[in-house]
Amino acid sequence: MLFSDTFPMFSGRAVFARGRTGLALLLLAIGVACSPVERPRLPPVAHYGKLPPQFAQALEKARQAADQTGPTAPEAVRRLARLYHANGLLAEAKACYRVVAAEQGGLSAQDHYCLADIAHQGSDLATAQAELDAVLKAEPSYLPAHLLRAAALFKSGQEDAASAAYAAILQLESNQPDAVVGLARLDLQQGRDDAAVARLEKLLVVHPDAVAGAALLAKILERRGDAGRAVALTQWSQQKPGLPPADPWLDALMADCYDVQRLSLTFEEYFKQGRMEAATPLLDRLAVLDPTGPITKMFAGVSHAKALEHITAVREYYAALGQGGDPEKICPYLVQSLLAIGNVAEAESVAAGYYHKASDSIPLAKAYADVVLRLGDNQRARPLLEKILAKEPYLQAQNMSLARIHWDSGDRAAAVPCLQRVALAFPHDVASRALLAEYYLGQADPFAAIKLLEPVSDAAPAGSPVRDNLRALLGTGYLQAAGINAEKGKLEEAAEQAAKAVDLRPRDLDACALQADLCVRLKRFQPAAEALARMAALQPGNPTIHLSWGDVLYQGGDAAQANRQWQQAMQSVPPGADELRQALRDRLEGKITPATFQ
Amino acid sequence: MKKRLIVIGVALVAAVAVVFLRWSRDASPATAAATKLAGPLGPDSFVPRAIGQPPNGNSLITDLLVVDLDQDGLKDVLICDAAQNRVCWVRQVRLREFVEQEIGDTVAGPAHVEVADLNGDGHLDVLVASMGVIPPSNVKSGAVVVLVNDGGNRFTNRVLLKEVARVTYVAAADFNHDRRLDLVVGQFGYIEGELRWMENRGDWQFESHQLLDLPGTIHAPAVDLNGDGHLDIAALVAQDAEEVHAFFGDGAGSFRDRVLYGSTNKDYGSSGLSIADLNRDGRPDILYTNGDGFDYATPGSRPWHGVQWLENNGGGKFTFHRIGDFPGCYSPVAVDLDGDGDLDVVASSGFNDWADPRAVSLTCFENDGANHFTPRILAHEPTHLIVVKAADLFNDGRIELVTGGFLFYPPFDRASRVTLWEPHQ
Repeated sequence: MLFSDTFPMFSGRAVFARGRTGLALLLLAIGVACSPVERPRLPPVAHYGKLPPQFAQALEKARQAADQTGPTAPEAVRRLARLYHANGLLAEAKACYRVVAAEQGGLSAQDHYCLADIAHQGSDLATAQAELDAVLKAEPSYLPAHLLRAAALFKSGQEDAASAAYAAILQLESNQPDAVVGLARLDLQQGRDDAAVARLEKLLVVHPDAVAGAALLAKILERRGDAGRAVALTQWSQQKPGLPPADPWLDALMADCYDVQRLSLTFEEYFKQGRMEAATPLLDRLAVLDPTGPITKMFAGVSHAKALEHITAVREYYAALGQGGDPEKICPYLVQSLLAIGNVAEAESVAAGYYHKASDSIPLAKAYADVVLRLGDNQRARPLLEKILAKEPYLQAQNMSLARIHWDSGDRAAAVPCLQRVALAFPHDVASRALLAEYYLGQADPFAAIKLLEPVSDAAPAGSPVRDNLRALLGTGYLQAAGINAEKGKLEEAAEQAAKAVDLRPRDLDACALQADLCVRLKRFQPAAEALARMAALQPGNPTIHLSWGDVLYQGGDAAQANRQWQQAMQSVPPGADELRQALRDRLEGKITPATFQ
Repeated sequence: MKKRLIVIGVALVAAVAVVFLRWSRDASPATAAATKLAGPLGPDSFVPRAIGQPPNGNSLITDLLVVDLDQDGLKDVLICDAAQNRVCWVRQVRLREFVEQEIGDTVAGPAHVEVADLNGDGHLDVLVASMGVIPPSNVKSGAVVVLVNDGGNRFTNRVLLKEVARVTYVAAADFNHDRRLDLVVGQFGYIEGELRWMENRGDWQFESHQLLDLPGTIHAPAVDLNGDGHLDIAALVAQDAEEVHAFFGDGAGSFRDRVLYGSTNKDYGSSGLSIADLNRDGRPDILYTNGDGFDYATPGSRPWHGVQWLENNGGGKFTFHRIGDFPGCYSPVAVDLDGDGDLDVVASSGFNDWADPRAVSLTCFENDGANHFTPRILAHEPTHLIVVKAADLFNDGRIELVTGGFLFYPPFDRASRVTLWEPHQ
């Protein structure tokens, strides 16, 4: 028996066969090892007709640098990638990043973030998530990456992961508005409306300008039947720009952008957000790329107006209109600048002209109303404002202007709906609340006034006239309310309100007197004595105050101190005040009965 | 006995009518067995010809529907003409011969059209989503209008909902199993919009129930997404949300909202949604496009525009797959266009770079049978095609396409209104 008969695997044929297989494998391995690796390549050179010649020049320069080999090559390719990315050439940008990835050092956190942005633009959420994971591994505190990742998880239906991602953001920044709104949306999706409302209400207390939160809250409130606040919140949120968190890595891309449309949109966004330092370079680029274009001219005007160079701004606005720019956008700016330089007649002519051509336009009607208000022409302003507010009821400036017209004409009741709308939509607006409170106090309705004033009484800076005025109004409100409650026999509530009135108006004798009276009626002699002490300090020679103070001290059980006050009163009794003198004498002689203090 | 016979007779007639109606409405191109095309898909695959009225100024066809409206066995085309504020019936009066007529009274900014026998009289009524105004606006100009068919091809407008955020979608379905056709209504609005379903209380009385208070709903077809026997709603919500929502119905009128997929890119431009069992696994998948260019100062395309599908994995779970890029992409249609037994995807472009003669207006993404898609250009012109539908219009086993032109921005040199695309012989 041959060895191979027992162990066929080692038979000569088998060994030969195995030898062939091994050889084949060996050759394959050598082949793989020696074959040239297909390295990623830069995208082919192409012409992009939609982009301006300046882009082509920048591209040529960047491409030449990227084509060089050497230690600086990855950085040059990275710059080329960003140039493509900034101009919407996403496939080309991705190709460049593949080249960077293959180089020593590979992709940076910022590269991964740019790749995530490219994936996010194409709604490739899985790739975006992977890239963002890489970003956060290297830069765990980069907030925009956290936000984009959480949004991607939410949008791809991964509710639990999205919830955890938003919670992680709140660990980095408590009450971060986008994270709170994201969690509220998850709450809503899972039927937890109350939790969503609570989150959003809390957010608006901490961040009153969180417009996305206000808009979402408005929708829930509308569904729950609170239509008034819902409409007010909605319209308020529409009048404010959203303020996304700064994203320096993406903002930096704009330095390489040559796309006029994208530059215009981004400029407008930055401008609305008040980020002029970021907006100005974009305008400079627009001025080079499209020097006579209406959008460039309009934004140039806006920029000059911001720098208070209104004469130049006017010139730019006219140029924008001359180039076919949209009057609905440009005219309001032009009118504001004309008014700023005092050229009211020209402002009127421009505003009236465009308004009469398109009288349904709210922006043009607003511009025209601004002019006639400046002219003091309430006759013309009133119907214009009424027309504007019929379409957009919660505009702050227009409501206040119309309220002022009614108020000054003596028809304060007609001003009330305008003021109420402002107070509802802009909870921190002091002027509307102060006027409304004044109206309600005049109507002997202090309770309505207090409700309006309490939330804003400390809003203005300490020591400012606005704050003093608000506190004085609120004090009057408390005093009136205390009087009404006292008349109704609600002594506890009245005393509480009188104490608040005294806190706000410590030098008001009437307030102190009411507080003292109420405290006596409630048999609270200690605070009554304190109120009378304040009154005595305000009017040191007033014998009646000392008489009352003595009475209160006596009833409180301090006869010695009471005697001292009565004696002081006796020294101040004016000639002829015999009744007062007798009352004091009786007390000092100890002729005190329960009827004495009634 | 006689009474019983009459009842049985009426029931039989009704049953036949229902079967006929369903057949005439459901001659879905997706399920029809298509004849193979003469050659590979490409620009020569179809021959276009205008049908209906010639354009009078810039056409604004916002939607169209292939349907045998008069139930004469020949499929017709219903169109929403926003330039004339009319719904028009491009009627196939004889095989291959079309004559257009207006139906009903004017409807301001018609944006979507469907048919359903809403009053149960055996005739197809025409449901119209009325935006009021087409360009972006917050004005409450929306309405739901039904053009009630008297059976003699005369249609009378009846307004079911009015003075609401701009209505972009309406369709009929029985959501609560009460044998009445309810409505699902999408209101794009602008900054304010919503999605609602309107419960049919009978006698043309409908009660509204809000489902979503986000603006931007474009399409919201009713379909049983999770296979529980109750109709759900798949809604494409554009504007800032850019999300596909599923409203899972319980069959009693309650719905649970879930975001199935969404873009984090607020400029994504969601533009159209349709339902088809793309992978033929028995579960309805969701096909949707992004290519909206309305928002830009100069309307146009974006590099991320294209088509995608959400594969229905069952149990309310979906997986996103990109099909392909297509600038300005609108109106996804699943249809076996090349007759090879699998579903391809046809889409049109409403917002391409029309100054470039190479810009594509009609494309088919050809399916290799394993749901890998290869774009095949069908046409570069006419341009500005915001809607395409596919059907076997002539009952010959071949698929025709019908497109509508929406001339919103220049150039207008290769314009069209309603175009029929017949397969090349």
